[in-house]
Amino acid sequence: MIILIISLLNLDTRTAFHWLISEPVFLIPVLSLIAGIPFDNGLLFLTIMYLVFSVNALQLGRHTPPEYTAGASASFILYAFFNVDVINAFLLGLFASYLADYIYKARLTANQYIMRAVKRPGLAAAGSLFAGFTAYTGLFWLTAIAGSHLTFLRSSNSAVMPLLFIPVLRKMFSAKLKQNYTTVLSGALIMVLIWIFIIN
Amino acid sequence: MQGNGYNLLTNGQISGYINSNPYLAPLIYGFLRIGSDIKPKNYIASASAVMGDNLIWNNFKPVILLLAGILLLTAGPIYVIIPLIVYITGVSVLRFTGYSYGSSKERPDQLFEERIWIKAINALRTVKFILMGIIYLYIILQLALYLNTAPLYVIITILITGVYILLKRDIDFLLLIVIILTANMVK
Repeated sequence: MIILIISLLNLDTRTAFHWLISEPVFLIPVLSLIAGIPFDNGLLFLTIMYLVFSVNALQLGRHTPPEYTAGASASFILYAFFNVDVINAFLLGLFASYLADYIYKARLTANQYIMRAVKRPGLAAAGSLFAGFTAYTGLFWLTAIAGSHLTFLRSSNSAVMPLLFIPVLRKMFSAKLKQNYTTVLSGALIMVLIWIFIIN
Repeated sequence: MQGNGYNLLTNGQISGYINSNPYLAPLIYGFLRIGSDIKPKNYIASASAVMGDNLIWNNFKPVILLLAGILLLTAGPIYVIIPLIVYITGVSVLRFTGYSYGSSKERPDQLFEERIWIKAINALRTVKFILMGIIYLYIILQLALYLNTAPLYVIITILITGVYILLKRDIDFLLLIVIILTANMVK
């Protein structure tokens, strides 16, 4: 149920309306209220970190400001429901945020297809919203599966992971490689593999 | 989306995109439309792009988000609703009065370069920097408490700042992230 609500709230991103309810600083407190989860220091940490990213969003994107809504939602699911360590939840959320950019591109392709295939504007809009909703539900469902199966994420012994993440962040924010998601995702994947096979 | 929106609003007379923020769309449409005529869109393109970035993306939205963050830290999660209402009211005013304001202007310099717009941007920018300073200071203080050893914290901060200044990187918030990650590493 909560995944469906989160997916609905995520539909506010990158629309002409964009009422800001999907911004992490509003999303996480609202979700904690809906799910009846106390707003502890971990959720505060996640909110403030994503707030810093959101405030600097325009400088982080080359053409369009990136959204961190999907990342904040994934972090919330992992931290609140699966007791994942807060820093692991944050990093995996960031990873989900970059995956969501591919969802956005897929949504644009789906919209073009729907626009050609469906003649009635109302039906086309409903189809487009449903496609986006399904994509976000899939992403958060996968996040929930990861949270329930990857038990090592609950360990707070995550000393190496942030250390390896620093070069990835530097690549991510350097002027030359802005929004080069393939590099970021490859770096993150290598980092996770090293962490799984060497540390654990 | 914006391209299709302008296309529908003008009965197919404007095609393509106008770089701006969606909240400024009624204002731009009101300005471009005089009776049944449509001004060429490149007449407004650069001014609308600058206003979309400077007014909304760079200043108004960050101010609201930072205000929500500070209320979250000081008052509690319920109070984030206040900045959200302020934001929705602000963009609704732009949406509902934009068309009449835009259609009352003749030239782009009358539309955007009036003193009220510039003053609003400057005021919002000042408020943004003050709020950002408060948020950063709060995080740094929390980290100092978290590490519980002030000398170690100072050494780490000086080292990281030194490296980033030497590398001539943008240090303002990248530094913040590195500090937080380092704090977790020390834990």
